[in-house]
Amino acid sequence: MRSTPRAAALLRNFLAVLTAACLAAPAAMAQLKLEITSGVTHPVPIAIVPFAEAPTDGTDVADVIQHDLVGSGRFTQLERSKMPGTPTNAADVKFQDWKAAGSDYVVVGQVTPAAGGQLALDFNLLNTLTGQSIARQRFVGTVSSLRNAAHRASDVIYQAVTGIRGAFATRIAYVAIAGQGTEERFQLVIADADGYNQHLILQSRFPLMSPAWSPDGQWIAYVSFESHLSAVYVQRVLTGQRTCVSMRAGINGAPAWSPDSKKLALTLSGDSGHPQIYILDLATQHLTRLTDTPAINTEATWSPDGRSIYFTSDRAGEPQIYKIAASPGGAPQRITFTDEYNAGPHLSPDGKLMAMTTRDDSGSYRIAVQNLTTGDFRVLTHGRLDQSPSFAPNGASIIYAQRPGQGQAGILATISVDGLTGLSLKPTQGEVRDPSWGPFIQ
Amino acid sequence: MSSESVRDRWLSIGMSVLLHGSLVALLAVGWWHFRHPAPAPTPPIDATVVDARTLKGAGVASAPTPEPKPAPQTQPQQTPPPPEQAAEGPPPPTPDELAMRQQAAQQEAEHEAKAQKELLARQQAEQEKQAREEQERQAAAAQAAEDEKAAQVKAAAQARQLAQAKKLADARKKTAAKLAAQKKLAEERKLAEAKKLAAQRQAEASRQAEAERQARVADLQRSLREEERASAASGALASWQSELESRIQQHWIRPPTAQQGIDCILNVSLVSGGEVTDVTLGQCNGDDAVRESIKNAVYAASPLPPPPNNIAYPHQLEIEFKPTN
Amino acid sequence: MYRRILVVMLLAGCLGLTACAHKPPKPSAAEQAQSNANGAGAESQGANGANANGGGPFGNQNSVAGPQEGMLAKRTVYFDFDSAVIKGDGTDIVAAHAKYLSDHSDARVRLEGNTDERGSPEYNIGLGMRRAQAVRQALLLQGASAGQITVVSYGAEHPVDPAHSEDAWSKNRRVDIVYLTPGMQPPQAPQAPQPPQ
Repeated sequence: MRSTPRAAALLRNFLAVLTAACLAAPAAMAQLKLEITSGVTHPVPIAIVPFAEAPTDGTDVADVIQHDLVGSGRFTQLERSKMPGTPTNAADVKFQDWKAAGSDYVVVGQVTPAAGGQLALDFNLLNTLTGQSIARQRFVGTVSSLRNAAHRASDVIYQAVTGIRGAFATRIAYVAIAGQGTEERFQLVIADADGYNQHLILQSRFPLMSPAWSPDGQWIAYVSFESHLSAVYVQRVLTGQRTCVSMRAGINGAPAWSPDSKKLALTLSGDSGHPQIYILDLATQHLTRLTDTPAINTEATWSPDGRSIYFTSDRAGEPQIYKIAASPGGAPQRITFTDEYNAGPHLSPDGKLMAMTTRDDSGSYRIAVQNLTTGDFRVLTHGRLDQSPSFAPNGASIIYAQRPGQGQAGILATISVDGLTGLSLKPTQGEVRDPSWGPFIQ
Repeated sequence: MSSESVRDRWLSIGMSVLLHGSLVALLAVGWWHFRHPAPAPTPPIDATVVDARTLKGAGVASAPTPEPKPAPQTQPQQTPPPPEQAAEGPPPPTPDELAMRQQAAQQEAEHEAKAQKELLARQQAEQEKQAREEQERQAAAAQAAEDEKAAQVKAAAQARQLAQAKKLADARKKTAAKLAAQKKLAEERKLAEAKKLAAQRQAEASRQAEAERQARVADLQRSLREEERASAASGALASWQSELESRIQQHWIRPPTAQQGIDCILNVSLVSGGEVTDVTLGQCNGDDAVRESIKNAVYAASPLPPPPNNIAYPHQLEIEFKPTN
Repeated sequence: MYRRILVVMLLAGCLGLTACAHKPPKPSAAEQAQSNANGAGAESQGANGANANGGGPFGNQNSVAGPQEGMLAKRTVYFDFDSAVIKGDGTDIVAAHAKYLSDHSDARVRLEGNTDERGSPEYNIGLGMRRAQAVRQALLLQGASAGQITVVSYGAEHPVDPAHSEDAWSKNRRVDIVYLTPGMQPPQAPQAPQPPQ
């Protein structure tokens, strides 16, 4: 009889504890779920360790790669003095040391002799946080193409980290002016995208302008004033063979290749003196007229699908950018409404952005991009006389001509498409202008 | 006969003189007439230089035709074609015609320019207005989205808290109900025992009641304490969750291909100190660069901050990367 | 006998008439221009820079050919920014050259339109052409004929002053009137050096 109340009390205690335990259990969850809805857009910290070099022409491969990656604005580099060692292959890399030095990635590699007097470039991109090798490749080539191999390595690294194809192993064309007075010469030059490895492909005592790479990389079209009148020529890059495609009365200018490299948009004025946009089929020599207004219509550029032409026209008073169908009979549609002066359009390879020269209220000529879908307009550069923009084939940056202050000759510069990173390509002498960025090299 | 011959002779002399004289005269006249060529006609000069801009509508050198003005005759050649091609084109009109055409066309051009200007001004105003409205709309939408997101986060936290409070209230209710039942039972037994045992069990019964009551109070206090601990733990849990998210967010260097629409899940293994020991990729619709970047984010954020003291450390985390812009 | 005299008179009359027949007209100014332009277009300035003023092979050749008296020695017409209106004494210069051209139907000129360096290069070609056309219009209205005038635009590519100042820019916004001397050598074609590998 005495045990019954005690047993009941025990039972009550037990029930109470059990209830409490059931209530407390959710606090010690086995799985926690997080949701990340944004990040940061800092440059990625990378360390490019000097490569083990075979005796070469003095090209510092790691330096070329560093200049490419940092110049793109998407990477920051670890200075050589702060590197915890100089490994040249993955086995020698102590990931903890590099992570502690602040680098998320390390690039190691070497240049070794290969058969036939050639060189082999090996590199390995390592992730210091996970300890994994992300990309590893070998390029074999002649001694003189070592710089190009370094640029191709930069392309691989760039794509592995950003997801975007690199455009470091591409070429540019531009006009250079050398000498003065009777010795003044106009030159058409092809160089690497970083300005090295210049090749003179044409020299003239008369002005040259508007060089344009064909999308297949085989031809350059340009305007020449030999015989004192303007004419449009196309020249084969590999052989130097040149052909005159238009030397009509009046203006012949602003050649622009269609995406299939089969047609040229041209500016022709005939005897009337009013420049209009025409399309010349290079195979049939058939000429089609697109515009017919008593205004200046020039600077045609194609959309990537080859169906539309964007061009400059001052039919409304000041020059603005218009769009018209590439087949005749269409009506032009005005595209730019910001600022009083917009000219020299060039579209990004995906057709979403249009770069142009714009003049703002202070009278400065700058490079701007407009989003063709949203109409969003952004001025990218900060000079007083910037002009002639041309997109890189990966759409990540734009090359243009800059005329700096008094007493300084014109130079070329690149700006990243977010406007944050700029680079100058200084020539050794004389003045450079009118750049055109070539296509990816297959 | 002699008179006839004299007359004839004079006649023939006269005729001959006349003939030769007329010939000579004709020659002389002709020579005189063509010694000076007829002067070229000079056009009437009205010396007003016209502004070339107003000639925009004139198409001065030739009437505007739908055909290309330059004759498409130049062939692509190895060497530049001879410059005589530079003089091709429709023959230029006379200055008279030019002046006339130019005047007519000037008027037309002025009309056209005015009409075009008005139209463009209207279009531009319309475009600007639309652009402004669009901007405002977008700004409002962005603001609304942000507000909504914040509200959602708040609501989620609130909901969590509410759920915990509700659980607490339910538990309290349950305990209260149990208490009530226990109380009733005890009272009934007390009455039954009091009825059975009279004066002797009175002291013992009252002693037992007291003991039972105290036991009940102790139970109640204990269960209340447990529930308090549980609720404190869930509030601290939510704030630790936000701390983890913000830390990983700061270490996620987003590649350009990590756009809105990317949705990737990472399963992370932790040890007690917060060190990340393993990362496994779950469902992910991003490219290699995106996958690299989210793994890097978690490793770079390691070791993770410890949880509040009264919560057991989770050994697994599931992280969803879903950028919203 | 009278019939014979009559016949002789008639014959003489016919001869006289044919003798008075209209001589073939002189070639019109336009046709002459056509044949001369072939020679004029192929002309080049002295291949070895043999110009007075020391301008380059492509430089100023204004002083080489053409009239030199008074206003005619001035060969440049200036313009304001973004304008194709002949300004200042440009109107007098144009009038003087127009008169000369109308008096000398075998004279030939090339009008070279130019702009300052600011803005997009090909758009500037259009602006230079607009200025050259303005001068051409003015010349035609004042007596020159179309066959005497060739027009070209160099845009911003041929400045007289390459500095980046307002002063230099105002000197570059111009149309040059260049008198052409027929019969000179054709210009050297540009050299295409060894192609890159």
